[in-house]
Amino acid sequence: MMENVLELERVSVKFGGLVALNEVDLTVRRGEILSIIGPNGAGKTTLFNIMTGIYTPTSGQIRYKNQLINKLKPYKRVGLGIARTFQNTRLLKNMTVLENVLVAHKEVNTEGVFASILARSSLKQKRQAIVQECMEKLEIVGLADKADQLAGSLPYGEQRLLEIARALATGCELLLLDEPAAGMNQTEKRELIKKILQLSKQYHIEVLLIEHDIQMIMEISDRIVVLNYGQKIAEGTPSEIQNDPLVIQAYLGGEVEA
Amino acid sequence: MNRKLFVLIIAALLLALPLLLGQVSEFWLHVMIMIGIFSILSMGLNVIIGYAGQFALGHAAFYGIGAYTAALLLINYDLSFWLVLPISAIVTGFFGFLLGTPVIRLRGDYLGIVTLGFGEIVRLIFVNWVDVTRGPMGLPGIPAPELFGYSFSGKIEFYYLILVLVVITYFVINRIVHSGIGLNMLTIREDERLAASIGIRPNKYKIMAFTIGAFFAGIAGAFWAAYISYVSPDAFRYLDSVNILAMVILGGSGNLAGSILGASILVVTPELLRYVSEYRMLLLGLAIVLMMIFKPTGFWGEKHRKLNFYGKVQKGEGK
Amino acid sequence: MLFQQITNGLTIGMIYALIALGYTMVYGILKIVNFAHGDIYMIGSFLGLFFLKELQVPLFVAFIFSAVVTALLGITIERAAYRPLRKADRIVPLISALGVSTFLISVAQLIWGTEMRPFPTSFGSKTYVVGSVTISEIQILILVLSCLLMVGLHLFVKKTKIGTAMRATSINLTNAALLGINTNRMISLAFAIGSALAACAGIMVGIYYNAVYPTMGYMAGINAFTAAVLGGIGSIPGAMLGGVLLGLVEALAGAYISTQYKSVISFAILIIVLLIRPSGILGKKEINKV
Repeated sequence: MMENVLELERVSVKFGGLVALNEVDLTVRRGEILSIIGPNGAGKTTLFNIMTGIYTPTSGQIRYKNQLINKLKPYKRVGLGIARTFQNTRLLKNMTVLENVLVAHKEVNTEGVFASILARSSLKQKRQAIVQECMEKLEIVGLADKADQLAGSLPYGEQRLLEIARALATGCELLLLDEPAAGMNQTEKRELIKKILQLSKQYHIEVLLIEHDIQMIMEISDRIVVLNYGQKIAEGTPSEIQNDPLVIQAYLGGEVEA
Repeated sequence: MNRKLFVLIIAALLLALPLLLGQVSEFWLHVMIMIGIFSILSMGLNVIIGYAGQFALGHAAFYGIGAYTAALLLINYDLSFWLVLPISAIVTGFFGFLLGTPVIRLRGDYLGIVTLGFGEIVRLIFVNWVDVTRGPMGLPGIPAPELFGYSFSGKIEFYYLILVLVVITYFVINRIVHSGIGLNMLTIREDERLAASIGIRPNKYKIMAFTIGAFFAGIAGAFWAAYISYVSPDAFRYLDSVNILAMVILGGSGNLAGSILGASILVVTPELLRYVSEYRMLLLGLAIVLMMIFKPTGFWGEKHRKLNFYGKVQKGEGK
Repeated sequence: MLFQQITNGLTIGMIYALIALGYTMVYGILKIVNFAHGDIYMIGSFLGLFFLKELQVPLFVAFIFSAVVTALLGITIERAAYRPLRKADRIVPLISALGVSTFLISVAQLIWGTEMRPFPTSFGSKTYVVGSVTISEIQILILVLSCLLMVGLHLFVKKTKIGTAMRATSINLTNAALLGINTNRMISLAFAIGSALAACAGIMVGIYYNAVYPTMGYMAGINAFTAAVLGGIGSIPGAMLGGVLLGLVEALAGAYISTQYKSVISFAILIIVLLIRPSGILGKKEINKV
């Protein structure tokens, strides 16, 4: 039995006269890796933005675990278990790798004024436990030994991994990755694929992926959704998508990527 | 170890200062007290500007609210100063909360001008609400604090009082900015949208910053009222707000010790240049512009931030 | 009473509009709020006083001299305090502007003292009665000259080649530079025009209230900025509309609600506009891209 985690029903987004998304239906099922592909400007990132609450849809419904979340503020959606990374990495460059993960941890966000002034030993123990947990997230992406470095000093590929660790620290159950492999070389990409699969299989996190690297997409996706000009033009398993004439046309007619 | 020694020496010097200075000059004791007041003000403003990244310009208004609250309570209700001090801080903190709530949605420059306007409104109320504030004439005859039946009569008592208050302020704010709250504030300062997308509620922390900043301005204000025993609208003008801002910026925003440094520089320099005292504000303006051009992070800026203050990675981990 | 207040409101509204134009033109191009603009207006007013009193020139010559000198001051300020910071964080030029503002206020205090000074001209005191409305010569001057200046600016921006280049610069600084427009010159021009208009406003206010003082730019600056935001910051017609509206609201509120707290009203308007419709009446909405 397949359970739906996230459901989009006829979701549209308009900016003035510009239609960024047009009546898109989409579901993320329990345990899957779902990829979204499409030419530049197809509305992929807009899709992420409405899922995370940066934009609200002009019409349509978004449900997460059967709860309507259309109007929910971004930070509340994080609380429900949705986390993301950004196409252009958004790290706190002057803070350490560890701190970049810490800021996303729930317990850090609930620390009170008086507790932090008194800083009793119970709080210190709690903080140590939080640091421990965040170190584990860094362990997963393989950045644990760089915890004390400034985030801005990391090479590009590692910055993307750090964004994943940060998203994990929110305690997310649905992870939205916006072009995680951009700027990575082949070896780094292989590592990334392994990690995404690990997150999905070992940690049971649903992964929603925007990516241009078709080879990678075909390798790790359970299903693929194709967007073009804000519309969903195809949906299916990697092999179905590979043979879909509409997809081929969209890619050949538009800008060829990957 | 070296650092501890350094702190001890400074502490001993500060404690012994009245003995060294007392006979020589009441005047320099006054200067030290003013440094103390402005240190508290600029540390509070640093929470708002340096940590939460909110460009607020009306800090003198909070200072004024604290001073007037204390003055009115001390004159009209015959309360103990030790009670009035926390009350003034809480009242002022509440005003910070009230102002913060509507304006936090505003972006940098807009926020600046709105808080600037707020400062002027508060001053207008001091000037025009004559029944309560006596308008431009101000409120004289504020009774001095008493401790164990002993009344504060000289500068030395006030010097030790402000020293204690500065230490408490530093201690408390330092704990706050080096906690989860501080981490969240820094995140909001750097990238508000990112903060929201990793579960931080930006408005909560911005309002918190305003409340904390105002709270400590209230302490400084209450102290000032008791120290000078007179308040009038003149001490809480636009230029006073700019002066406090300059202390935060010159010292280095995002660094508490920097605020004390900034307060010291901007209180002492005009006194050293007394023969050109008319040029005080002129030089201040010039200094601000030059600082922005050549060293926008201030003397002790971000580079001195303690890394991984929230918790260190235990040795032997991570391999 | 009502018509009298409307006349007074229009008068002061025109002044706000003139100052607001300076905020809006600079913001339109550089996207910074020139916090020192109110103080530029103050300096313009003092310069007018200086030319009238010390050099004994006729009033219209004082206007021209003061406008020219203030324009040069505006250009200099941009060169010295803002241009080096163009690549810096948004907050940096703001703080620099505060420094400039402090600097200008203390320069005025050093030269002219901290007290209010009267304006030594016999012009403007004569009044006319039209129906139930009393209108003074200076009010007529403010209404007429402000209208002329604004129409002139409008024509300049819309009809001349330089004006078109200026508009292109305010739409997109980088693109304008690619088109071969000397954008630095356009920025200087915006500062020059804004400052000159502020100087004219300063002299007229000086005569109107018969008072000039170093901190006069502070509240006028906040009011004019409110006007610019109300009309839609970055929009030239918006600044004019915003100024007139604010002047009217303030005059009516001052007459029917409270004189002492009439500046509270403009402040309240500012907050409300910024919270509800930050793009103002005539401004365009900015789309925030992620």
